[in-house]
Amino acid sequence: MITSKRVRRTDQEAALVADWLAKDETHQALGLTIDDVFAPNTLLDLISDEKGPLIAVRTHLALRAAMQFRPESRIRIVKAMPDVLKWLQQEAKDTDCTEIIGRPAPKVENLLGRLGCQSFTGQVLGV
Amino acid sequence: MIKSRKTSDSDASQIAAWIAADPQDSGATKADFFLPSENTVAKNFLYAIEDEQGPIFYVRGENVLRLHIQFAPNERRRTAAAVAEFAETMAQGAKKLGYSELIFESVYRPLINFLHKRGFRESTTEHIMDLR
Repeated sequence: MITSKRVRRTDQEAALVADWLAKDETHQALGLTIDDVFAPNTLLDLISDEKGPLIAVRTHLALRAAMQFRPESRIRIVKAMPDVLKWLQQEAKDTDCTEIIGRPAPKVENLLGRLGCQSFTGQVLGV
Repeated sequence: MIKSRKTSDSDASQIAAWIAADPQDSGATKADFFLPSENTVAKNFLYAIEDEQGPIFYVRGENVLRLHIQFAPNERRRTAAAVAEFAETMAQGAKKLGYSELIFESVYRPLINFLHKRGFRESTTEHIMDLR
C-alpha cells in the first residue's frame, strides 16, 4: 500500500529529495537541480510504502496541440507560424501550462526547431 | 496578422477536405477531432486560425500531465512495487481531473520496459516548447 504526500521546498522532505537527486548519476548528467524540482507551476509528491519514502514525482501541466494545416499553402503557413506559436504560448500560460507538446508532421519539424521547439521521445499513457 | 476563432460545425467540410488532401494523414484523423461535441472535455480548446486570406490552421489543444520521476537509490524491488501501484493511481486521478494523457521522458530502459507492460507506449516524434 503506497501513500502520497505533497512536498514544498520548505518541508523537511525536500532535503531527502535533494539527496536522492545528488546520488542520481543520470539526472546529474542531465543537469537537473533542486530548483528544477521546485520550479513554478510544478507540484512534487513523495510516494512511500510501509517502510518509507521511495519515489518523488514532479508533475506539471502541458498543452498538447494538434494542428491541421491548409493544403498547398506552405508560404502562408511559414509566415503565420511564429504568430501562431506566440498565441499558443499565451493560451498555454493562461491555463498554467509550462510546456507545449506536439507531434508535428515531418514537413514542419525543421520550422518548429528554428522557432525553439526541441524533439524528445515520450513515454505516453492515454487516460 | 493572425486571428483565432472557436471552431463550429460549419468548419466540418473544410477540415475534412484538408485532411483528405494531407499526404501525412493516414486516414485516422476525422474532422470531428477539431470540432466541439458533447464528449469534448472542458479543458480542450478548438480553434480556427486565420490570416488575411482566411483559415490556415485548425488547432486542437488539450491538457496533459507531464511527469518527472526521482527514485530513492538502492531500493529497486520496493520501487518496482510502488511504481506499479502509483502508475495506476496516477492515471485514474488524471482522468478524473480531465486530462487526456500522462507523458514522461526517460532514458532508463528498465523503467520504460516496466511501464510499457502497464499501458505506456513510446512516442518518438514528440516536440516540446518550454514556456519558462
